[in-house]
Amino acid sequence: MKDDTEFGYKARQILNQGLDILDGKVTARLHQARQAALNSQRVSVMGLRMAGIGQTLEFAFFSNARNLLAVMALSVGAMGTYYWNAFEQAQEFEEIDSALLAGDLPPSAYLDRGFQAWLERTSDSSLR
Amino acid sequence: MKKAERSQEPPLSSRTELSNFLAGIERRAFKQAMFAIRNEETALDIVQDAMMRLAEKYGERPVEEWPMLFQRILQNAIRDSYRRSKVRSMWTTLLSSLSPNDDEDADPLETFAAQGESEGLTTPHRQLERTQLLGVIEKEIEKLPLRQREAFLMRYWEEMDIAETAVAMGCSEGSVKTHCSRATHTLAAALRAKGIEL
Repeated sequence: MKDDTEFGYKARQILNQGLDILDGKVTARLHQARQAALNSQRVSVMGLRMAGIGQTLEFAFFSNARNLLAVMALSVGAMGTYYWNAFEQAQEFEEIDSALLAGDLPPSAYLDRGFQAWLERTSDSSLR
Repeated sequence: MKKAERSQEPPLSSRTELSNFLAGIERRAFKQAMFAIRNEETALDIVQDAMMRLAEKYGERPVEEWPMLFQRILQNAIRDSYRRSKVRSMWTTLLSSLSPNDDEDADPLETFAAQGESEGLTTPHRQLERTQLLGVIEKEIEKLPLRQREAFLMRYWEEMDIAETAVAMGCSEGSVKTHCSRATHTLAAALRAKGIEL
């Protein structure tokens, strides 16, 4: 058994020498075969993923990316317009409040119904 | 669909490992196929198919399993091709039985001596001797029965242990030992008959 092993390894050394003198055409073809095999290598997809759904969502996102961006830009624009209008309205109210406070009449006069009726009557008669 | 294919690409480390593994065994695999088939193109096709099958089906398996798996795939492919060529040669022999083949009487040493001469006088004498010895051993390995050759090459050239060889060959460990021992004795006797002692 020991002799067999010794013979086997001596034969191996000689056979290995034959590998270095292979024809260039053969080594090129082997290299090509290796590249083809590497391109078809199979590996498991790592990470958590729900069967089918994850890939579907990913596919849906990437294929509709342009539409999604347009919708997002529109939403940002609408929000901006809403806040701008609110700001403008607040400024108007601020001006009215300032005028009321700076006037001679007390603000409670504007809430009085009699004063409102007198004001309308006075303005009607002055127009005539 | 491109996005779905992209997610199946192997990680770089796995690709490098497989590339290193294939680069390490491809030449020996080719030689093994050549010993059995004796046709360069067919041998290359067999090696390529074996590589592809390993990558496609077992690319995600642990690296330590690749040598045994690759050998199993390779030996199966060699056996299939061997059987097909046997059937083909049977028909060829039947059709060309009238033309005798003198090649079997040719002395391999003469062939390799002639090859050595054709390489030119610049080749060192020692190198020539080694090349001739290599040629003789390769010829004798070719002559071994298929199973003996498989066992011998896997045990001593691929350095697989008896258990791995048994799995790759699809037989018992006892059979591996028997095939291996017979192959070694046949080879040693054939070399001794040519005056070669390893």
